Amino acid sequence: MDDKIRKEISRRNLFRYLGNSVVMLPFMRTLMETQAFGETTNKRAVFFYYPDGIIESAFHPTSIGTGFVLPGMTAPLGSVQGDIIMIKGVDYKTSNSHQGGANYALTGCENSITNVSIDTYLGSKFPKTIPALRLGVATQYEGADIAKALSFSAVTGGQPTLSQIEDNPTKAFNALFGGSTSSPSPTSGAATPPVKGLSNTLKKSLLDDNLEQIKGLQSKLGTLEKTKLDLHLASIREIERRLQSSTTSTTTASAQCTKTISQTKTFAVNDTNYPKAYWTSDVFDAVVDMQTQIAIQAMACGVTNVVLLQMSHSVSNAHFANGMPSSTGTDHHDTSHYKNGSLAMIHTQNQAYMMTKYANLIKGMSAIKEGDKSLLYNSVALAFSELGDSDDHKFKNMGLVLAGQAGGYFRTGRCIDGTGMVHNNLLVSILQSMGLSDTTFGRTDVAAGGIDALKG
Amino acid sequence: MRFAAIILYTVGFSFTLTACLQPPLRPQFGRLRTDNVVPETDPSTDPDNPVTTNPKNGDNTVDIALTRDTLSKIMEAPGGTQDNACLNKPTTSKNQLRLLTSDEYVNTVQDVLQITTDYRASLPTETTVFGFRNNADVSQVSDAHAAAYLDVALSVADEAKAKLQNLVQCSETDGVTCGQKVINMLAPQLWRRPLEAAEKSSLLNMYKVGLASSPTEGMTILITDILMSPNFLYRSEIGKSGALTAYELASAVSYFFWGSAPDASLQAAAANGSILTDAGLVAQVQRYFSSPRSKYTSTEFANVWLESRSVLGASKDATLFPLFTQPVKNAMAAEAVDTFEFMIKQPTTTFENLFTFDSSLGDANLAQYYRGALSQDTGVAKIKYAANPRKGVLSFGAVLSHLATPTETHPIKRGDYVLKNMFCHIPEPTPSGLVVTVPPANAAQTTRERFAAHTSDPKCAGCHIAIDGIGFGMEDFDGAGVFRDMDHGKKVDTTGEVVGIDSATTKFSGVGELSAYIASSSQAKRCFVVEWYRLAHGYTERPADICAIRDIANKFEKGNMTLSRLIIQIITHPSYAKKEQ
Repeated sequence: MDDKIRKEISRRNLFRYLGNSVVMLPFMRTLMETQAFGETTNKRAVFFYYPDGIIESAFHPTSIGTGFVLPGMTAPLGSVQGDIIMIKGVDYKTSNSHQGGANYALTGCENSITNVSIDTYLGSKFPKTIPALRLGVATQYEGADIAKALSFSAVTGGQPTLSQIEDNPTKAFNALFGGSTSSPSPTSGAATPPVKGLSNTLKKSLLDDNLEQIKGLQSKLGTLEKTKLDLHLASIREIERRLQSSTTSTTTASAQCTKTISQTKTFAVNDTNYPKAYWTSDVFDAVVDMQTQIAIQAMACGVTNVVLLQMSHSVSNAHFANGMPSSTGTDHHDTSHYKNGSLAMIHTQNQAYMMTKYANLIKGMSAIKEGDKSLLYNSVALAFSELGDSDDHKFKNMGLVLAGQAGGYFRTGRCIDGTGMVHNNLLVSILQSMGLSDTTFGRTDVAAGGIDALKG
Repeated sequence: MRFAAIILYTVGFSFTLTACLQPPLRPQFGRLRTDNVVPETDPSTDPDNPVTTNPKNGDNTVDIALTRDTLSKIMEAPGGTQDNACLNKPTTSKNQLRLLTSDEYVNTVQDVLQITTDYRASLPTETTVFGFRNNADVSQVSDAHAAAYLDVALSVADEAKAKLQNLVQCSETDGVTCGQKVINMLAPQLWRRPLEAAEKSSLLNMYKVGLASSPTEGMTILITDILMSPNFLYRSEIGKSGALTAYELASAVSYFFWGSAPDASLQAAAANGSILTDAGLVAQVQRYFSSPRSKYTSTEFANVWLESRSVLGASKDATLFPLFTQPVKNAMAAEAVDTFEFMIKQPTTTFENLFTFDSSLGDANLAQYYRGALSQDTGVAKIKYAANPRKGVLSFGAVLSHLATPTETHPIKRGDYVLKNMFCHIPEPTPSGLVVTVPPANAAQTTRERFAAHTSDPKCAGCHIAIDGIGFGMEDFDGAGVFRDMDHGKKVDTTGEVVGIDSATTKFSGVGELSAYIASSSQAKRCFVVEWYRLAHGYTERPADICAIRDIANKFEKGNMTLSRLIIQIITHPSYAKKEQ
């Protein structure tokens, strides 16, 4: 453990102690939290989801170590082979088909979701203006259902709350960068959302009053709806923290924080049609590319340290033809049941498309220079799906790929054999790579500790 | 107070990480046949992951096993043990705070503040439960919600400020008097109840905080404060002394039918207490229901029950289905909603009629597509279906063409839809090896022949005999909702069976006969009641709701109750206003 990490942990322990002290004012805690976590790391974590599982033989290399050969589904990762770790043999410890896999993948929980997903957790540990940025491609198109949910922003009173995922790249861009797509000037400091209507000081007063109203209602109701209102209170406090963060952050943005993306499509921010224009398979490809660029810019500009990039959702209703999204193609989920050889080829093509997009993310992160290293070097980017073999709804030998070194923590350019390990171990490895000391995440009955073989 | 705040603050963040616990086993209820079901993971190879029943389907929100059990008790025929158990049992419903849906939010600010911008896309996406997006259990204010509420409230405030003269006959430059008018006249409409003195003074203080900067900031902070308030964002159904207050009941009626805050007449009925009398309640409910604005509720229902919007996202192979154009898709979605709305508003229409009608509301595009005839019937454009089995809601193009692939029918999706939406059957999770496989195209085989292969697999048959039994019987309509009698050069085999519903197996042939069966099915009628109950109450039925739902369902099933009567009954039933204490 290096000194930096040790120092960080020691600060965190101090914070944990103070956080439970009644002499701490809420707002001071926010400041402490920012000091403890927000400015001592430049590590980032990205979670790249692709739907509907894999064909093991088409996904995993046959050999481990360096010099591995990538088969059909992962062949597009050949262009970033030195930046990735192919992970073989790791299982999900869950059940219940697509839903069980989706709900488990980022929480490590089977059946009942009793903790937030890892993106939320990391966001709370390394908060920026946006603690966890969640961008999607048609994720809400028949997908806003717990059966398809990966990310949970809260669990209160046994009730998980699904994270909101932004599918509209135009809206996501505007929210992060104030709608400017053409200003190429590098900017220091976190992007500040445009002030609408009120100064931040007045917003703070407003939110304080709002908290009092919620507490007033809560005291009237007693235990009734208490957890619902607890979450509401915590959420308003989080907005206060962001207001504070946007005015006090001293993060230095990368010189390549351009706050620009290549906007190949523009979508109405106020689209109330069904389906939304940005959900259709015809624009799927354009939306992936835009969301990927936004995610990279958000990290380069210091807006967030944690990103979820979600391609569609489990049992995906996106359509594909010739390995590309297309409205009149075949249903992505239907072809994931590939029993027959011809469908196996189509499923391989479809997932190779997903890996191409993951490779683009890796290349984009690699192109952002941070000192003599890169955004990718300082990050960990995990690609995952809710199933292993899709035809059999298996949870063994999952299709997991890790990219980036998290600041030298992971040794890339290899294929490792994780047989005997479970996904909870991998989630712990990610936490530890970010400097946290957690030894479990999610299920504690199946795993503890990380996967040593991933380290440098 | 500060002490309490700190404690709450700490509690509020305590959700960040706790290890998940493994839930206890629970029994399974109400299954279709599941013999031969292969467990999710093979116990012989996976000792760490033993075979378990899946108690909650991974779903914290709805305890699936409990819901199955509750449904099985609701479905029991009238006059049995369940009704005996309900004798002399008071029926009540859940105390809850119901977060406004994006539609409800926008409708309310449009009605009360004359806002013209549609902010729905800026508000959070609702999590659906059994298709309904107003489930109060899962509708919670996350940080993303809070951020969106602040952003939208500020925008609404900006827009509302320009309308103050219209709304309350003053302008922001008038200072405190205008602020007071907003508090006295607009806040009660937005909060759907009179404000207490302390609430008024608190809002006025906030106004003055803003006013110290400028009159415009005073008004912005005041309106934003009103809209960010939990008193606006949640509809209260908490009640007092075991019953909804007059204002809560007025609000329930208004949001159920119109998805918006009570209008002036309903506000008055709440203020003078007449809403709490049977006659006063029925009068308001009938007024709300008979208004064109109650299409809000029929649309909400049709979007779930008939999945009427899904066709808008359906794509077809243009070489196979050249007539399946965007105007046709639009007309199909509109046909489903408009016809359903029309049917429920007819004074004598019953559940049976929903499955037997042979004309619908539609346009020339759809009439041509259906090979039917368009005519005007008392000012309404109606499509008279051609002389084929197209009858009732199941034969809507919106239903048939979305439960299909771009190239052909999808019997499994169709069967699954009917089981879930028409019979409230909750399927078991798809286990390993029991996959929804689309067999590859084969010019020599009909769709049914290809799909039948997997059903013949004994591992699959447990569930698929019921799913495919229905889906195969619907093969007389192609993947784009057009009647056919040939498929891949062979005569279409439309024989099907409904297995395990109404405690029987029922043979049928084609969508027409399936519809006729559903029209008289006890389970389908009771399921229809359950789904209206979910929409009206904003939660999934619990054991405590069995007696209330049975009471309504028994009357609906046996009393030949009309649809309009049912919908009124759902909200006027004593169980709605009576709350648990």
